[in-house]
Amino acid sequence: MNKISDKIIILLLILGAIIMFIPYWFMMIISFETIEEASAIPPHFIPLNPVLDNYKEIFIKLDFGRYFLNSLFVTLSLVFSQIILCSLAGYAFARLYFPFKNVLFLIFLSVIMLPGIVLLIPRYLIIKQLGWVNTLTGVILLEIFSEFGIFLYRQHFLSLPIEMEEAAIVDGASFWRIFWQIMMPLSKPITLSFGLLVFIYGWNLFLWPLIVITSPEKRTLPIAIALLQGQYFSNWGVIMASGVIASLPPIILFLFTQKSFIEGIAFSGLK
Amino acid sequence: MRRRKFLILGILPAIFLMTFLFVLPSLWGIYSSFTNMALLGKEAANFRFLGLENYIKLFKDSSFYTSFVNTIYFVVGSALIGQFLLGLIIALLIDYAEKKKIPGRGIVYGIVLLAWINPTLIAGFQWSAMYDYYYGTLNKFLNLLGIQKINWLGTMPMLSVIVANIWRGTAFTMLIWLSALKTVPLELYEASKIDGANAFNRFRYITVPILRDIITVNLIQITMATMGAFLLIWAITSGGPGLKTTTLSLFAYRTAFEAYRLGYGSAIAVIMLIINLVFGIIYIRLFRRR
Repeated sequence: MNKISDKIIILLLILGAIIMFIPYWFMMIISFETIEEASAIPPHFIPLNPVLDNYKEIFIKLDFGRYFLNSLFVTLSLVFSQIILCSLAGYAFARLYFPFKNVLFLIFLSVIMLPGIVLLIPRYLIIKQLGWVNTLTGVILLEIFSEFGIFLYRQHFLSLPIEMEEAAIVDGASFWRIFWQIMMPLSKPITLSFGLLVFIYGWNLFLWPLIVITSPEKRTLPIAIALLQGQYFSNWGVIMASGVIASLPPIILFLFTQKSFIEGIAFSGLK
Repeated sequence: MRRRKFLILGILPAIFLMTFLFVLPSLWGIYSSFTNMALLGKEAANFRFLGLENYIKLFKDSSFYTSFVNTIYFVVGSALIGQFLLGLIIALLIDYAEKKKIPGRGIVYGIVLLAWINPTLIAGFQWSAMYDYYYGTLNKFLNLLGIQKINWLGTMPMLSVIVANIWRGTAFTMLIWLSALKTVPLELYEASKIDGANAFNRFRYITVPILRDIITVNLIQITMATMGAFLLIWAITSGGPGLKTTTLSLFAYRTAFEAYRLGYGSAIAVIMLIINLVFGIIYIRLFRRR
């Protein structure tokens, strides 16, 4: 009885995994094929004569190396700044007392409910005033902070026992020392998880850089790829090759940090 | 003294950034929904306060009505029926596989997650390549089976984007369920087995009540994310053909950034906020502790 149901479940899992993987698999295959082969019927399940033409096209002719580095620069800046700013603020909300603390925290949280599209225009007006239109700085500076990060760190610091900090205070340690030498080392797992989530977020960022960036050499990867679609209308090989390049960094990160990754996502839902 | 220094350094930047990056822009956005503000032209500099005029106009706008209905289809189809139920089913299967130590479960897990960590735009292109009438993978498969080609994005555009969004978003709910299922004490299941409860009843009367809060939060999260989904639909159909896959978030974007009607676009976004709240209240009432 149990044996049969086990087999059905294995079968279902395998079938599901195959279906989930199909779009990926064909993206990879098409990226190694010429236009003629990509449109062949019946479809190829592996590239028959793999060629690198599409990759050469995007890196040599279309300057994708630069877009890749732009995206990496934006994303890594966001990861570092969000970790520092959100952990500091989260710690302040968790441990320190100041007027209107709870009111402020509620205001922070309620902002999450508003559709992101509302923020785009006022934020654009802000960087226009500051003269940051068409700079990567403009893209980065308005994303260096997130309510989610504060919330995550606040909940994390609240879950740590307060005795350690009290002992450190008695020993005369400053709050800075407590924060950097006791609290942050204790927060390594959550910081790794949060950093990964910010990486995914930053790497995915689309509408905001699309509005801010106007000159071609400052484009980030998703914008460059979106513009490809118009240029290489049904040349799927080139588009799919750019897709493979864009999905590599998150996949590589994921493969090396699976456990923290999963914990991070899970934590964002469980609170 | 030291504490104050830390307080200033820790909280002041946060309050400053929060105010300028989130609170003021949000208030400005809500305010602009009551004006005829425009992105370009003379209304860009000299806008007028209109009161509720934008909202009254919205309710007479047939495009708004169409996008509203599309949004409900999209949210119910891809978030509730798709991501939530499918995510739950996959999580239960993997959870079972974990308890029985069935090999290969990690790979399934990883593959489902791949779709989620993938950049949204790429997911959109992957599915465009699946649905394409001439070169699409799906039609090539149909051809292999000797079935007539189907114009996926022409005849069933909404279903197509819903399937793509389910593919992309299911991993999140699956993960939440998987971690949540681990928090249910095993003894409860053992006890109910002895009492003769079957698998469905165990789920209905033990798992669901214990995980009530997590279910509510998860439903609110995926509803909001699906309501705001822009890039995936934009990459696959751009909202077409006609308005058939235009949800409120595409409609708001089009109005504000392509028709340059900021005020009207903001009003659409405020309506989206209200829909989010309505869904939230429904979930909270549905899973309230009794």
